[in-house]
Order: sequence, then C-alpha cells, then structure tokens
Amino acid sequence: MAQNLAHFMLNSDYPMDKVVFYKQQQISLPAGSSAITFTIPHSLLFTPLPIAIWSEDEDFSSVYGLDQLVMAPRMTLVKADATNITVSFTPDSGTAYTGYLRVYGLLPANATQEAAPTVRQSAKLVFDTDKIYCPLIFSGLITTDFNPNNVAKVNVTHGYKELTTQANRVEIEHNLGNYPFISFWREANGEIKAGNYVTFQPGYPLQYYSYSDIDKCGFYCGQSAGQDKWHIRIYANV
Amino acid sequence: MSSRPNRFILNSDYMSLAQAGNQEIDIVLPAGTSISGLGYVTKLVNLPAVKGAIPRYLVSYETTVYNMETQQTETKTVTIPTEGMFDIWSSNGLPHYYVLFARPDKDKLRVSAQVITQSGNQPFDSITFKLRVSYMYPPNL
Repeated sequence: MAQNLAHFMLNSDYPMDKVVFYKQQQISLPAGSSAITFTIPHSLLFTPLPIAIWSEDEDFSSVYGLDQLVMAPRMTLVKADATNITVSFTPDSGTAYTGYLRVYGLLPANATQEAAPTVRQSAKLVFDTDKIYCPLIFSGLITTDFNPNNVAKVNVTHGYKELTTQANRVEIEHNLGNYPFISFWREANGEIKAGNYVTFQPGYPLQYYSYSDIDKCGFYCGQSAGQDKWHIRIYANV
Repeated sequence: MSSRPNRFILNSDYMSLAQAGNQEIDIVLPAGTSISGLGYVTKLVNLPAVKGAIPRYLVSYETTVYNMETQQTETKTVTIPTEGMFDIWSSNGLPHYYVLFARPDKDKLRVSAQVITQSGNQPFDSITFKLRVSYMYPPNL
C-alpha cells in the first residue's frame, strides 16, 4: 500500500470503537444441509456487540461476512449473550470445507464493567499512520416503540435529533453532508444479534438492511409492534 | 461544531477498528435480462487485497424508487451501506426488487445481482451502481 500523508486521521472530537474480545479458530464445515453452530465463550462481564468474518485461507486473503441468501457455505447468524458468541453456518450440500473464523466483540455504549486488554504488542495500542481511525459520530443504544399507529419514536442521545419514522424503520438525522457507515445490532431476550444483513421472506422480500444519505441514515428493522432495543454505530466515511 | 474536551475516549488497552483503504468503482448491470427466482448477474472487480479486513460497502445508484409509504415513485440517489449485501427497491412499471451481493474472493470482489419481481419474470433495465468498498480491521493483529 502506497504511503500517503493524508491517510492517518484521528479525530479527538469523537470516541473510537473498543475491541474487547478477539478470537480466531479453525472450523470444519462438513457437507450437508443442517446448520452448523460454533459457540465461543467470551468471558466478559457484559454482552459484547459481536462481529465475525470467516475465510477459506488461514491468512484471510479471502474474507466472507454474513450472507443470508446465496453462497455456500455461508455464515448466516452472529449473536452474543452473557456467556458466548455464537456463529452459525449453512453448509454446502455437496462439498466439505475447512475454514477459519475470526470473532470480534465491541464494547457496547451502555457497558460499564471492566474488560481484559485485547492489545497484542507491548501492551499498548499501536497506531498505524497508513490508516484512518474512523470517528464514531454516533454510538448508542436506542429503544424503538412502535405504537398501534405504526409510528416509531426513536430516542437518540449525544445531541442527535429524535425522529419519528414509519414502521419498520429506525432513522437518525446527522446532517454531515456525506454518507456515513452504519452498523446495528438487535438486543432481545438476553441476546445481541448482528443485524447488517437482509432476510428473504416470500411476499415481503427483504428486511434488516441499512441505508445512508447525506442528512440521515438508518435501517429497516422488520419491527411493526412493541419495543425493541438497538445498538447502533455510525462511522464517519472518510 | 464546537469541541467537547471530555468527549474523546482513547483507551490504549484495547484494539480499535481502522480503515485500511478504500476504492470506488462503477458497476453496470446490463438491461433486458429476464431473471426469475434464483438467477444472477455476476461481475468480478479487481480490488486491492487487504488480508483479514472486514469489508464495508457504500453503494450509490440513480433509479426510480418505489415508495412503500406513499405508493408513488420518485427519482433520487440513494447510498446504502452494508456488510456483504443490500437490496434496492425500485420500480419499472412494476416494482422490481434488486439484490446485490458483494463478496471478497482473493484479490477480486465478486459482485452478483439478483432481480426479483412481483410477477416473477419481468425484464429489468440497465442500472449503474457506484460501489465504494472500505476495509476495516483492528490494528495490533
């Protein structure tokens, strides 16, 4: 990668993500049709926001994320509870695969407990000036409450505007003038589930996908009634 | 925007996500193909390999967007971030549902598009996507 003086950016007006859990392990994905689940204890005092990628190569020269629809084998579910991070795969029907799984846990905005360090070099976080450390322009936990009129009231802290949106959508106004990245996780029944994927349902094709515009961003959450909790991260796109 | 001195949090005990580069490309899907069910159009795009990085995608396109709330159509540019795939709800007389999958595979990005229509087998218009891929990974690995 070419050196570029413009690459390094660390904006002290904003917090950064903290990776509080990391693990890589080899996985076997035998041929078949039954879901394969890997359970990884995280030993944290809180439930982290889980992220997972997998690869057919130990050096991760190929990288696959959540994939709900097509590829085989595919990683279909990433979730965490108070004890474990769980990753599920749908295998290829005719071919067995050996893969490598990397699981990360991010610190939720509402967690106050301590966690063991995750740094690997000299017990310090080493910044690389070839890279950009994306500011978190929003990091929080919101509760959506869809009333019988199918209107969502989204309460957002950190100075961002509370929006009223239509059913099935969580939307946050940012007015940045560019397109930030948004990640989200759904918290329900003691579990936090990675949500940046779509779910195919006949007649109602796609749910759980995110979108971004120059003044707001959000995601379709597939919710039409009751209360839900959502962990949201919005990263500046530089 | 005013700065708030107590806002910055940097804890050197923990890794953090870094952006390891990005690339923006145009992808043109041809018109006229009739796809039903599980048919796909696939493009291979050369991208710099960043081993172990988590890809994130921003996709821009101009099309007629089917507005589910008002049952009207409007033309606009939409950018959609996702981690692996996203969908586009559009209209060409009938609502078409587009699904685009972007999956890193070695030094290439395999971009596949699926079109789903309500009638199940309608031709779709050519559409151009501007795809920006950013690579994120924790340092100290």
